[in-house]
Amino acid sequence: MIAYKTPSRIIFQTLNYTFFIVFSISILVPFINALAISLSGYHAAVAGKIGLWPVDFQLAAYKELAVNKTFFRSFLNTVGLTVVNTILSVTISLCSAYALAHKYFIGRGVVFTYLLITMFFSGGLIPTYLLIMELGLGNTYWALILPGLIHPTYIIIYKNMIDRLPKELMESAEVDGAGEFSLLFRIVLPMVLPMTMAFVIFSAVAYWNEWFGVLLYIRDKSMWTLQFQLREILSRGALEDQQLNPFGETIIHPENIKMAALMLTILPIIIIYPFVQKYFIHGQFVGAVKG
Amino acid sequence: MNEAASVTQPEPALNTRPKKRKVRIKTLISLYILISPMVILLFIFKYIPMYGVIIAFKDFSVYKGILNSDWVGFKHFEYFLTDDKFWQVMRNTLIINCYDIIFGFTAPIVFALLANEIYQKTFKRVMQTISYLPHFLSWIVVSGIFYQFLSPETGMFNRFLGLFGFEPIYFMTEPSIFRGILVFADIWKNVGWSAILYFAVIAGIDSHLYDAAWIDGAGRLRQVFVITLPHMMPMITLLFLLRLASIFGIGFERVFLMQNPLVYDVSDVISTYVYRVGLEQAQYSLTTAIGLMESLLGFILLISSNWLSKRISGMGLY
Repeated sequence: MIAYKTPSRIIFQTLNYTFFIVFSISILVPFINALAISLSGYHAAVAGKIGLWPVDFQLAAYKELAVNKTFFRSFLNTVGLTVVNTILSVTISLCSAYALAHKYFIGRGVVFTYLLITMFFSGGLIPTYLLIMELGLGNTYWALILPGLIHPTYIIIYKNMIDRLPKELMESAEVDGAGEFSLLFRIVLPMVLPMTMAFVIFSAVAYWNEWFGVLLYIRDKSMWTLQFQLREILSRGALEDQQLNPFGETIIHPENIKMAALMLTILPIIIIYPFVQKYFIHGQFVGAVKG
Repeated sequence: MNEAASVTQPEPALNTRPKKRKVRIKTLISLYILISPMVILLFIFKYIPMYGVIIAFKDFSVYKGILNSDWVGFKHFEYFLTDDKFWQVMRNTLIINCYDIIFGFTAPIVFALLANEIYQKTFKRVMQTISYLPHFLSWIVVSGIFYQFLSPETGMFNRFLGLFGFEPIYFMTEPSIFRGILVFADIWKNVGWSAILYFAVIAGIDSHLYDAAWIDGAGRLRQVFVITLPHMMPMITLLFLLRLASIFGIGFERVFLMQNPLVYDVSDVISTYVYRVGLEQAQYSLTTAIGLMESLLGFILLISSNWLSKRISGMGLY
């Protein structure tokens, strides 16, 4: 690249760097502020003067959340649902794509069209809701698992990748007498592992953030997910069964508990984020080109 | 298809044929087992609800069920088309979408072009990493952050404005600026992530083109307009088409989680209206009719904008 050193160029570069610095600050500062509030004391929260550093540092809000049964239960629910949903949806995608890409498969065109139609048409919110209620899945974990398991884009991307695998590889394994299932998991899976990692991470993040299904189908508080619990805490400013002082007020200021819950909810994503960033970007790019 | 071709291929030895056919049938059964979860789940959770759309033309009653409810023709369509509330919601949907297209759609393009001018590698990488982050957080978290940060009493932003002598601004409850907040929140959350696609396109441009343009006396700005932007056009057109098709559908989560009763009048869109009236007031048939109209309009838009794009630029989705 050729370097330019005209006065207008230098002015532009200065403004450009300034813009991106301001932009990065606009993303980071609200989170740092939220973290500082979650670690501050009651009176500091009342005064509302907390900036980027905790005032009257304490972990009371986090302790409150850690011993709260409802919060802990929704944490477990979320972990469980994320693991189950991610494993099922990625496995189903891979199996479907393998079958669709197989040379002996009869009815490829029909099944493919059947899949594509669901990408463009849908019954909409109300008919889906009525169906799930009619099936008796309301207020069960099934309502949070079954309806969203199929991702047409994953299947299409997987199929395109399997189509491009060397044919000799599959044929030699076939001659050795390997069945379809062992072929799929021993030969094909290792070849599409990077994409699988991307799908696993995408799914895991999406399911970790899931709350709408809970709003629609779940009545039982013990079945809430973390995000839904957070929504409740953010709007009420308190936990379901939080400790109260003799005057019936919460011991921890609503602002503290809100931001502490928010921090705990995003913590897993922040922790894995640096390690999996390359998969995110890989997935986003391939998904756009192939999907 | 491949199967037909492979069946007629001569086999190496005649006596292996029955065995091969047996293997092939066994394979086929395994393949159908592998694909059956997808076929069944789609049938139950996608195709049956598509059939359930007929309740838009019925008076759905929970006691009679979908099949036995009475047909009423276009009654629900007539009802909402003459309802003032519906038109208000429709207006909001279109206005927010126009803002989203004017600002939200162009933001990642500008972002990618500007970021391309950063030559300091480390700075660029750190900035990009930060910019992707909010995309992976839920709208619940983002809305919580916005309400906290922009709060008129304790929010850090209003205290910052106070340093310059400004009165606190009620960002989240002021109807005249709430739509702006919605559009800004979407850009804030997604601009870096959406720009990845444009980064990839820019990275694929042959650098000799820039050298040649420089020798011809084109400055950096002119190079952007004659080289970079034309190369980005196919991607921009494609994404624009997809965006246009969803002009009647706004991401439900963003509006639903950011809004509050004080700003319902300016922020209620079709999807939030369908949720509130449909599920909270149990107007199942009416809101299914609205949903059906929304997806029909979207489909017509997709088809026609694709046709238009093919006529004008020779590029389309299919």
